[in-house]
Amino acid sequence: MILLEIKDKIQIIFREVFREPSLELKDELSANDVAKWDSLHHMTMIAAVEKEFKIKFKLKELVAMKNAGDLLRAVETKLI
Amino acid sequence: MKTNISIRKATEKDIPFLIETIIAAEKSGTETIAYCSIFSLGKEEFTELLKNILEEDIQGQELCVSDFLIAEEKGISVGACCGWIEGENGTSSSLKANILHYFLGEEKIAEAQGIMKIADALHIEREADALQLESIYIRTEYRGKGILQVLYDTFITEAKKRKHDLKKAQIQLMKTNETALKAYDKLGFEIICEKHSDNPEILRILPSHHKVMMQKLV
Repeated sequence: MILLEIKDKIQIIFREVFREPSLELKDELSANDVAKWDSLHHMTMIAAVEKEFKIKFKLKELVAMKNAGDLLRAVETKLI
Repeated sequence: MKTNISIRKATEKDIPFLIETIIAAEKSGTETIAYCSIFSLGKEEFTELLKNILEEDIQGQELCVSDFLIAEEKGISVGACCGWIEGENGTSSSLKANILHYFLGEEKIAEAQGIMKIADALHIEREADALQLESIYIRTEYRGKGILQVLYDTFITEAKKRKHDLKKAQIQLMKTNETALKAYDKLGFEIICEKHSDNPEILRILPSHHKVMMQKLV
């Protein structure tokens, strides 16, 4: 799966979970930029990403993610 | 009375005492442990969960061994406190959410969503760049000896080495924990934010329905 496809799928998840239909997924996007990105919605988002791509993150991968770009690259790495 | 107290960074060997510390701080003078009521965990399951999380030592959130300082008297651990600069290692709420997702799993988290939403009424956002103090505990028989002041002073000294322009130290606690409120007031902390919920379900989940954030300018 190419990075653009991954980005599209994650953008759909973000729009649904954080209830922002026009959210644009950018690399630097973080919890500080999205009103509903609190710990509850964060857990929902991670679970949805794992389910969508049929992957399971390691703890060190999860805690290294500081923004949407880190999440995108982590998914890409696991799909290679 | 402070002369016999020494302060050191916690290590993996301190995990049993840190578990005692975190549980005492979580109970906040009651018998309610939020993690247990939210995620339907027995005390032993919660202790095991804490042990597993502490062993991972993920900095920047309240369940991290190396973010704890231990107060010792004659080689005995008598108090502890966790502290980190918010944002230095990422947002603490996201870090903790990742940790809980990893250890509890999707199903347990999904089951707890409803209860978490009720508990969220008392959520107070942590302020970036402020020193966050959490899980503060002094064994009952060692209280009133100035140990908290020594722990606090050490945190400030250490935090300022990493962040020269550190301006604030903040603590979140339940307003019903009067002993702790008085102790932090004595240290110079003032209440700057309060959250209250009238939902009767809250007391089934949390030790109180009234939470405060206290702050001290450093």
